Amino acid sequence: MTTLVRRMHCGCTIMPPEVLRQIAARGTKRQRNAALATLATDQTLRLARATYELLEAGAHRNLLAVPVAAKQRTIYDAQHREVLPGRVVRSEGAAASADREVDEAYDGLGATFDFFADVYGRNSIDDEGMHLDATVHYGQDYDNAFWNGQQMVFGDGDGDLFNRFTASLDVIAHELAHGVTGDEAKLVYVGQAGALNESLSDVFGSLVKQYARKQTADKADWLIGEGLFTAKVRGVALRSMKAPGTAFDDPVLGRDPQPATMADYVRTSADNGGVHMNSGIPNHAFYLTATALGGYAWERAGRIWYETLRDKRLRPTATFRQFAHYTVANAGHVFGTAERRAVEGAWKAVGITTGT
Amino acid sequence: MRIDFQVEGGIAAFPGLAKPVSIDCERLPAAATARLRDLVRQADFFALPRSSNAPAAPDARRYTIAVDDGGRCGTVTVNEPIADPALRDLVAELRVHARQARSSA
Repeated sequence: MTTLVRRMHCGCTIMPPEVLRQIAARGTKRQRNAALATLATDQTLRLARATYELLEAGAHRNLLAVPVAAKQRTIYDAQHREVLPGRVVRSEGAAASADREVDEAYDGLGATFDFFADVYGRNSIDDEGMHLDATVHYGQDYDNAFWNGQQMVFGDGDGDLFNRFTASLDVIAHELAHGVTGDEAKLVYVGQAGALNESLSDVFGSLVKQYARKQTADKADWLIGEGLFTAKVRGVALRSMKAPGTAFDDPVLGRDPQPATMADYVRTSADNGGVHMNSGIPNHAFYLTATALGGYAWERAGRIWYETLRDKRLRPTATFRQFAHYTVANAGHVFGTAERRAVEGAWKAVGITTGT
Repeated sequence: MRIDFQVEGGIAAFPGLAKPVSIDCERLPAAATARLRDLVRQADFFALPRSSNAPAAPDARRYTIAVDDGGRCGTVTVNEPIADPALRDLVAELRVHARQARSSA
């Protein structure tokens, strides 16, 4: 970034970098895309053309008129049936209900929205103010949660092995992040692309929790779904980004099957080609990047991953290697050499070479 | 009648929960067997399409049900949320059996 600013100060700029950053944070989607493209570029002609597009879009005129991102949450109660969405129980701005799961979902949706808005200037799942809907009390003894393409769905657990699925903020954010990935990179939910899709949900799930707790990377637990198991289970969480494969080892659930490196990549047809298993590898690369860089993980590692999720060059069928390549490129574009090296090192440590 | 039941996917990969469960109706109490037969019939199981073509939503589970009632056999794969109420009821019952099988293992 510092190299880019220096070049821009050498007289090639029409739009000052500070204005571009404001637009990047607060403009409409089209304006922000143009601003980020301009900030990331390192060629004079592309810079001039992108800046001209911003002027055409009137970005500089309506900076102050840009509407503030606003939450629009609705929580539904499926009343233990498997019919969606169920009965409305809490709308945006309504007071806390007497129902713990309803309020946890409401607060979790809010925290996730706030994270994406505050940190990355993103206005909800689709960056255009999409309403956030969640159904709780889905099914009976229902030990799962999922994103159905339009809304989140949470079960209460079976009370035997699993607690309620709204108990974990990173799980709520994980589900919402599937919506963000579906809006941006649209990574197909199979094989390595599917494992990347899963990993991005764990990355942003964890970051939402770290942001809420104001934790630096070294203080974070890097666990996904802590608190979902009952005391009966021998395990701490669904997954660990810090130590994939160690989250649980239980007589009934089995042993955490996640690999940490490519050497242990799971070749299977189950679970859409192991999307919840092999996500351990890119998860671990993110953890290594965040802890190598230090500070708050959402500021640099998270930003690099977010820009890669939005990178138009990233295909829906991306492999780990292709995704890694763009994280390295974006680390260099958005930040600099130190960040690029940290990202390269992290991928190398999990067995992915990104040689440029 | 024998039913093989398998659950894949979900929010996390649990090897112990992904194992197929085999339900041999000969070994069940009469009431339980009758209930399963009713549910299979109400779902019109052997007329159902073999698998839903739509991909499962992220973190949603996929159920594979294979029924062999001596005369006929068939396999159905379906993603949740299950739209067909009768098939939904059958899967709910099979999930209870799967949980019981795991607990007694």
